[in-house]
Amino acid sequence: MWETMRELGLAVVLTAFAVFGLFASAAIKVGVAVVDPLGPARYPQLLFALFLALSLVYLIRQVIKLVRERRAPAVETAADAEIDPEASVSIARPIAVVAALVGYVLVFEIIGYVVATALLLFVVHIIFGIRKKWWLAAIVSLVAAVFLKLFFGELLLVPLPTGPWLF
Amino acid sequence: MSDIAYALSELIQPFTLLLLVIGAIWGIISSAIPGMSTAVGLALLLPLTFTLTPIESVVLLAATWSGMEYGGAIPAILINTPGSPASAATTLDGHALFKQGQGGKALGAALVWGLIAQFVSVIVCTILIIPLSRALLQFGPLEIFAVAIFGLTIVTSFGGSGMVKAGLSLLFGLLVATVGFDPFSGTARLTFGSFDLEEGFGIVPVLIGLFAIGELLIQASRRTNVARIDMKKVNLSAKLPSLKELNAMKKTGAIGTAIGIVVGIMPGAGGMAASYAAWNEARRWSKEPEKFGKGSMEGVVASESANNANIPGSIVPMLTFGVPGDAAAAVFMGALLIQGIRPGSELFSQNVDILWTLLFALILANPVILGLGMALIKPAIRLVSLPKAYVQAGILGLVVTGAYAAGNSGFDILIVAGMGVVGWAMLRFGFSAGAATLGLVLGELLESNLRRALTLSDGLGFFFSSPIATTMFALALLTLFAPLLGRLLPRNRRRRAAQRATTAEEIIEAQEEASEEAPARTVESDAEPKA
Repeated sequence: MWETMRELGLAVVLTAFAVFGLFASAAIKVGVAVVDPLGPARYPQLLFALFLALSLVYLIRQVIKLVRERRAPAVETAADAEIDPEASVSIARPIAVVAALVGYVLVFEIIGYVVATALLLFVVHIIFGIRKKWWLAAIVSLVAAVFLKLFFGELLLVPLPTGPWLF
Repeated sequence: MSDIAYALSELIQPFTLLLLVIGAIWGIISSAIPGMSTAVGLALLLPLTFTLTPIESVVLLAATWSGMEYGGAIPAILINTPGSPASAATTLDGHALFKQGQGGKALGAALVWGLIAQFVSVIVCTILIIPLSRALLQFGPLEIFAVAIFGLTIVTSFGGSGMVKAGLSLLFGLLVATVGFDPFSGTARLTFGSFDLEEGFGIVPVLIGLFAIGELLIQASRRTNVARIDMKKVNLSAKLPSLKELNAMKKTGAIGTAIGIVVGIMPGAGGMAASYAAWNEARRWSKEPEKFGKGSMEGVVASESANNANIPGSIVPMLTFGVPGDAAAAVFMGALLIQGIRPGSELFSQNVDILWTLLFALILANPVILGLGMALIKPAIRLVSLPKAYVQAGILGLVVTGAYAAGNSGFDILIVAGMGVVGWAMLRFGFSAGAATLGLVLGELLESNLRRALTLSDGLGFFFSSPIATTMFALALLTLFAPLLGRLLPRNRRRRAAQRATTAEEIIEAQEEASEEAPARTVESDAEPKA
C-alpha cells in the first residue's frame, strides 16, 4: 500500500509538471513573421497535453489501486514484483551524492580540477559506506583524479580548469 | 571498388588496428559494469574522437559497440546481472546454465554465436544499404516524420514497463529536446531566461545522467553491497562450442540473427528488444520450450546472436535517414556529426569510404573479440565484484569528466546531476530511460520534419499523400494497438486476472489457469500496463 501511495505521489508530481509545462509553453513568444503553420509553441503544447493525459491515466490507476488495496488485505501480487523492493532503503545517500555533485560544479573552477575531483570521489566513497579504510579511499581518489587529468587533459587535450596552484 | 580498397588500406594502419583492440577491450570490460549501458560506454568515447580522424573514430566506436554486446553476457551468465540492457534476455537461461556447471559452455556459445550473427548481419546490411540509399531519394520531410513516428511507437510497445509509463518516459525525452532555440523561428523555448539552456540539453550529459548516474544513485540507495563473488567458483574459461554443437544450434542462431537484423533496422528498437524478441521466438520454435528460462542453451544463443546482429541493423536507418535505431546508434551518429559527416545522401556520395570502413571494422572486430573475450572474463568479473564504493566512484569520476569534456561547460555537469535524479526515479518506479533517450534523440528530427512537411502542405490530406508515409503511419498504429488488442484474448485475460488477484485463493486458482497457457516468463506480459 505504501508503494502505491508513493506512486500516487509521483503521479501528482507528473500531473503538476504537465500543467506547469502547458503554462510555460503558452508563454513562448510567437513572432510576427509566420515561418511555418505550426509555430514554435504548438509542438511543446501538444507534447505537454499528451503528457497531462497520460499522467492523469496514471494518477487514476493509482487511486483505483489504492482503493482496492484498502478494501482487501494486501497480498503480494505479480505486478508488485516489477518495482525493486530493495530500492527504497535510503533516500539520504542518493541526495548526498547529488549535493556533492552540485558542490563540485560550484567549486571546481575555483580550486582546480584535480583537487575538486579528488574531493568529490573521496566524498562519494564515504557516502557509499567506506569507513575503516578511509585512507585507502583518499589515496584512490587522488590517484584517480590525477589519472583522469592526465588522460583527458594531456592526452586528449581537453581544457580542464586549474586552481591557483598550477594544476 | 576503389572506395573499398581505400577503406581497407586505412583500416590496416597500425594505429587504427590499435584503436580496434582498445575499443574491443573497453567495450568488453565496461559493459560488465551495471549502469554502463552501451550508449553510455560509447558516449564516454566521444571526447576521444575529437582528436581522431573520421575513420579512426568509426573504427574505435564500432569495435567498442561489438565488445559491449558480448561483454554484457559475462555478468549476465555469471552473476545474473546483465551488463547492459541488451544482455537482459541472456540472464534468463545463462545464469541457470552457470548454476548447472555449464557456465563455460554458455560463455563460449555467446561468444561464437555473437560473432557469427554479427558477421551475417554485416553482409545482409551491406546488401540492403545500397537499394535503401536509392530509396532514400524518395524520402522527403513527410516520410522521415512518418519513420520517426513509427520508431517512437515501437519504443512505447517494447518499453517493457507498461505503455503508460513508456509513453510518459518517451514524452519526457521529446520535451527535453524542445528546450533551447527553435531552429525555425529563432525563439528561445522553455529556457526560463537561462543562457546555458539556450543551447538545449546535449545528448551526452543527458545519456550519462539518465543511465550512469541513475544507476549510481539507485546503488547508493541500497544498503547491500554487491555480492562478493567467490573467485574460485568463477574460475572458468569460455569453452568454445564444437562443430557438432554449432550445427545443433543453427536453427536458433538463424532465428536470433534474423530477428536481430530486423529489429535493428526498425528505428526505435535496439539490443534489448532484439534479444527478448529472439528469445521468445526461439522458444516458440524450439523442440524443448519448457527448458527456456531454466537453462536452455538455445535461449543464450538466441539472445546473444540477436543483440550482436542488431548492431549493423541499427546503423542502417542511422546512416541512410539519420534516424537512429537506438540510443547507441544515436551516439554513433553524434560522433559522425562531430567529424562533420552528415548521414543521408551526403554520406553515400562524399564519404562512402567511412561506410565501408565501418562495415569492415565490424567484421574485423569479431575475431579480436573472440580472442579477448576469453581472456577478459576474469578481469571483468573482478571489476564487478569490487566494493561498490570504488566502482561507483570510478564511474563518477569518468562520467563527470566525460560530460565536461563533451561541452566544456560546468553546466553540463548540473544537467548530468539533474538527469541522474530523473534516471533514479525512472529505475525506482519502473519507467523507461531508454524510451526517454529515444525521445531526446528523435525529438528534433520529428519536429523539424513535421514543420517542414506542414509548410509544404495545404491541409491534412497531405499526410496521406505519400504511400511510404501512409505505410509507416499504418505500421505505427498497428504497433501501438496490437498489445491492446492482444489483451482482449482470453488467455491474456486469465493471466491478468492472476496478476490482479488479491486473495491467496484467487491467486492459486488464477495461476493454475494461467499456467496451462504460459510457461516461464514471456515478453507479451511486458506489453500489459502494470501501473
